[in-house]
Order: sequence, then structure tokens, then C-alpha cells
Amino acid sequence: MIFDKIMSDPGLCAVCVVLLCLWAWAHRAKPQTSFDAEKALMTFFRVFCGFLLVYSTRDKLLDPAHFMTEVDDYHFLPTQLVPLAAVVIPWIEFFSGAALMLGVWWRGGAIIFCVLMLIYSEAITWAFMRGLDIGCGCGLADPSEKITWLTVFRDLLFLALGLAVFFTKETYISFQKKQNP
Amino acid sequence: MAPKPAKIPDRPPSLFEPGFWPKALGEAWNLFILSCVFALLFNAFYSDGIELKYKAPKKIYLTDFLAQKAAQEKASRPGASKKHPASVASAGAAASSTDDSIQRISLVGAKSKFDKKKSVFLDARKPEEFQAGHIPGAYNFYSEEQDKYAPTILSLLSDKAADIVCYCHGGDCDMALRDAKFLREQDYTHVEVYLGGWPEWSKAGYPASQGANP
Repeated sequence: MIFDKIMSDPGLCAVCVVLLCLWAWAHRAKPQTSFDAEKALMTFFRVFCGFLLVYSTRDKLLDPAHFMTEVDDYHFLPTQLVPLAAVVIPWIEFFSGAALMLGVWWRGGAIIFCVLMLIYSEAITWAFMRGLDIGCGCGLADPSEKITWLTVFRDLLFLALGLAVFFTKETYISFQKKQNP
Repeated sequence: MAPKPAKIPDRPPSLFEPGFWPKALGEAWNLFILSCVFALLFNAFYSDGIELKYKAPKKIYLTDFLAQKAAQEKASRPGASKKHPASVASAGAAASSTDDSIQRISLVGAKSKFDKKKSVFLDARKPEEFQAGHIPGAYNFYSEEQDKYAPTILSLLSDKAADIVCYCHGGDCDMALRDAKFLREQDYTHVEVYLGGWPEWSKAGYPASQGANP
């Protein structure tokens, strides 16, 4: 399936790199018409980041027991916090993703997206450096896929996308009222 | 008649304008609180929800079981004195309160013991991790399910003075230590923990085996 290949670590890394290159191009090019390519691209970034978060929760939301074992495998959190994290994290991802997709509180959603990506990349690096032979538990790729350096790189690219969304001034299609001076 | 105020055009917020950061952080905070409240409520009413309170491994049950077993063995011996059932519970309590004077060994020590072939290696990791790769000759003694593995392992280790080396993921993994403590409680005198564990062993390129318990 093409979709599965895109959602794998190499596929998502490639997509992110292409998107960031496009952004660099759109940032340099001045809008010739009323259509602003950078603004449109930022809108896509925002919806894409939101989609990633919502999509990654599809298995975690309804099966917290399984997600708890995946969180526990990292040995990253204190054991007492693992059940709470397994319950709360998927819903944080879901609501932040929905906010980014719908354009409501999207800047707050972008902050949470960036914070999550920072934590995930650190947790994966930590697990990888300790040689833990565990699955990512990210909910994007095949569940049996093991963590690699590419997983860390992928999360850092996601972080770059999230920061680009957060620092953008405005995007198209948003249900949020614009701010007046 | 007062003049109608001119319509103020919409404009995107500036990053450095007052109120931008509080607004953005406020949105993030709102989302966070909303998610937490919804998650806790959902988990409370969801049929497959989990208990938020951490449950410690069932060590107590195991020690009780072993204490009972030891008491039964003693009772079945000819001439053994009958004990009050309360002493069984106290035996379990005594078994669980051992010190942590377990010796840790490094990669060099573990390899040396492996080469001498006089030590028994116990792998405290999950069965699937054990099957994917382990030190040759090691037995899987998954620390989270000690009560399941203990009868087999204890029957294999008939000599209480056997040289035993426990290992797991290395780093701050405490699974091997849990196994080692358990074995010390069972009066095994030479129990050590190999700190580097399987990741260090496999990275060193030392011999490895795959598959379930031999």
C-alpha cells in the first residue's frame, strides 16, 4: 500500500523534507497575486501536523492497556506515572490534532505538538542509546516496526514543521476569529 | 449624530505584540486541561479502561506461595514439628526482607564466567525478547512473571551454591536485580547481576543464541 509506505519512517522523513524545501521556496518567492503560497503551505502544514496526531491515536484511544505496555517498555517514565500517561497522552494528541486541523486554538495545538515531538524524540533517543529492542509505539507506522535513528530524525522533522506552524502569522481555512488590533 | 467608527481591518497577530504569548500558551493550557479531563472521564466510564493506580508486581503472592511450599515440605518430613499457620506468614515476610548486597559484574566478568562454563545465566527480559536473542545457555526468567517461571527455574537450580548471573536490558533496568533478589531470598548464595545486559553483550559481538528456553 502506498499509504503505508508514506506513513513509514523513511516515507514520512521524505515528505517532511519535501515540505520544508517547498516552504523555503515559498518564503523566498513574493506573492504575485492575492494568493499567498507560503500562507497556503502553512495551512497544509497545520492540517498535516493535526492529521498526524489524530491518525496516531487511532489504536491508542480505545486500547489504553496495550498502549500502557508500550509506554512502559521505554522505561522512561516513573512506573507510577505510566498508567496515567497511557490514558492522558492519546487524548492530548487527539484534541491538539483536532485543534490544528480545524484551526481552532491552533497555535496552542502547535505548542503541544512541538512539546510532544521534543519528548518523543528524547524518549526514543534514550531508548535507542540504551539498546532497547522495542517498537516505537508511535501509532503511525507498522506497530512491529522497531525504533531506529530514522525515527528520531522523523520526530525532529515533525518538530520543525510544528515550529513553522507556530511561528506563522496566519493560515487559510480557520474556524477561529481573527484578532483585531 | 456620532460618527460611525471606521471598521478596523483584520490583521494577523505579531509574534512580539503584547498578549501574543499569553494567548498562545493559554490555548495550549486549555487544550491540555480539556484533554486531561476528557481522558479521565472517558477512562472512568470506558469498559476497557485501565486502573490509574500503579500495581506493584505480585511479589507477596509469590513469597507466600513459596513459604507455604517450604512449610508443607517441612511438615511432610518425618519428625517435623507442627507449626502454627501464623508462622507460615512470618516465613513469607522474612523471605521478602533480604538485603541488597548483590554483586554486580561487568562485561569482562560476564564473558569470563561464560567462557569457564561454570555459571548459569538467567535472562530477566520478556520471552519474546529472549527468543530474539540471548546469551547461549541462558534460561528465560522473566521478572514480571516470576511466579510462572519460578518452579521451572528453581527445579533447574538444585545446587544452592550454583554460580548464577542475571541480566536484562542493561542501563537502569532493574529486572535482573529483581530476579537476583528473589534467588537470594531462596537461599542461593552466589547470585550476581551483569550490569551491561544483553545490549552490551550483543554489541561486543559475543556468542548469541535464539529461541525459547533450552
